[in-house]
Amino acid sequence: MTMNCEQFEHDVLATPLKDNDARREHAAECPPCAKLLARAKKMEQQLSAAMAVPVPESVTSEMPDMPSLESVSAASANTDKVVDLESRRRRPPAPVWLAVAASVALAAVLVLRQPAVDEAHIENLTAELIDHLAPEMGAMRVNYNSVPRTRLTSVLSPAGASMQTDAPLVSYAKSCLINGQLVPHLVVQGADGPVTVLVLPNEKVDGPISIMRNGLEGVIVPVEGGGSVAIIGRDAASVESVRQQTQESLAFDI
Amino acid sequence: MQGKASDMKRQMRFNRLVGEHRTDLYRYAYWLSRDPQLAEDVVQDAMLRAWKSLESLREDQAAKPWLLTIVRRENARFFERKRLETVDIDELVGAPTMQLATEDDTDSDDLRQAIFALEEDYREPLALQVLMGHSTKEIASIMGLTDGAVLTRLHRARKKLIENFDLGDG
Repeated sequence: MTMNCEQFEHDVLATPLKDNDARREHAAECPPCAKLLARAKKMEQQLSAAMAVPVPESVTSEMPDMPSLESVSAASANTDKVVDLESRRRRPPAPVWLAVAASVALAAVLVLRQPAVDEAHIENLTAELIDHLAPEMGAMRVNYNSVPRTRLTSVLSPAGASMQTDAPLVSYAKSCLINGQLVPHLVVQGADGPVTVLVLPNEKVDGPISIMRNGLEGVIVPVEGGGSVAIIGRDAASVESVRQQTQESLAFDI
Repeated sequence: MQGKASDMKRQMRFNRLVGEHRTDLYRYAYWLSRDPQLAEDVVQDAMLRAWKSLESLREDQAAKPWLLTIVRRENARFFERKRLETVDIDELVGAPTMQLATEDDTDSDDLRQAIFALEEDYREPLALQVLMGHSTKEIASIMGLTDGAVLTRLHRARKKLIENFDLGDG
């Protein structure tokens, strides 16, 4: 099959690395098209190098343990509705035997899952939290565009957490992997500047624990339902300005 | 006990099928969204969605196109949400993309900016072909186009790059 210059150009620029007789024959007889072919092949190397952008460590690190299917389904189910704690409380009560069984199971889960709060553990935990923040510090900036409620719900639900609708303005919400656990990572806009909020469903603390590391200050405080939340900012004032409201608006359902 | 073994088997299958493609998924999301942070979010959401619907993947050999389709939909969902919020997407993606430019050589940076400037209709098939090594037929299947339409878009994409950038010269 013979090819004209227009067909050759279309063919070469659509699939530069393909090889066939018609293309070879045309290039052998047409120096400008032979030059275009050589140029197209070189262009592929340049394109390939430019498009292979660096991949962040969060993507290439070890595969995480995925959350239970129940929690993922709950997240999807909640995607299109606002969490309403009042309506949740108005649900009809479950049978007594179910409540007793659930209490026993919950107690067993809590005993198994809650690590003892000791200094070494807290030291490791705060180091991991601050290390995690380093590459995402860009998110902790003044921004008065709140994330959609659906996004916030889908980030919090896999951790069994929810946030009341009168919560402070959340400008960033993402599920992050910290120490193999999916941790909701939020940025909240406070009166004294933005702060990072990391929701920790599996970390139980009895009272406030201060964080001061790498020029950042913060506090880990308990949250209703058993877990805790780390609130970290550039100074103590910014943390304090959102601490109470954040602590009160968050709850764990587990 | 049986349930736990089944969960573990499921997790292992997921790790095997998704683990090896994460780099490709991120880069695909990056070229769709033009933003490293958004690409990370899209991949994370796509992984959760893939985890949830793993049973719908019948053949393991089809994992990559299946995952790419999920990433494509998650990216579309994200931009749809942004559209509803009436945020200027170009403004949104402008700053982070520039952060990438610091470590690489200037030519690659310039070329990336030229690729960013392509319309998504041209940028996407180019990424699928150059990065993923997909055939015209496979790209057509992922994008829901005819083979001819894919070839035309690839031709136009490279033609625009040549016109706007001294590609392949020198």
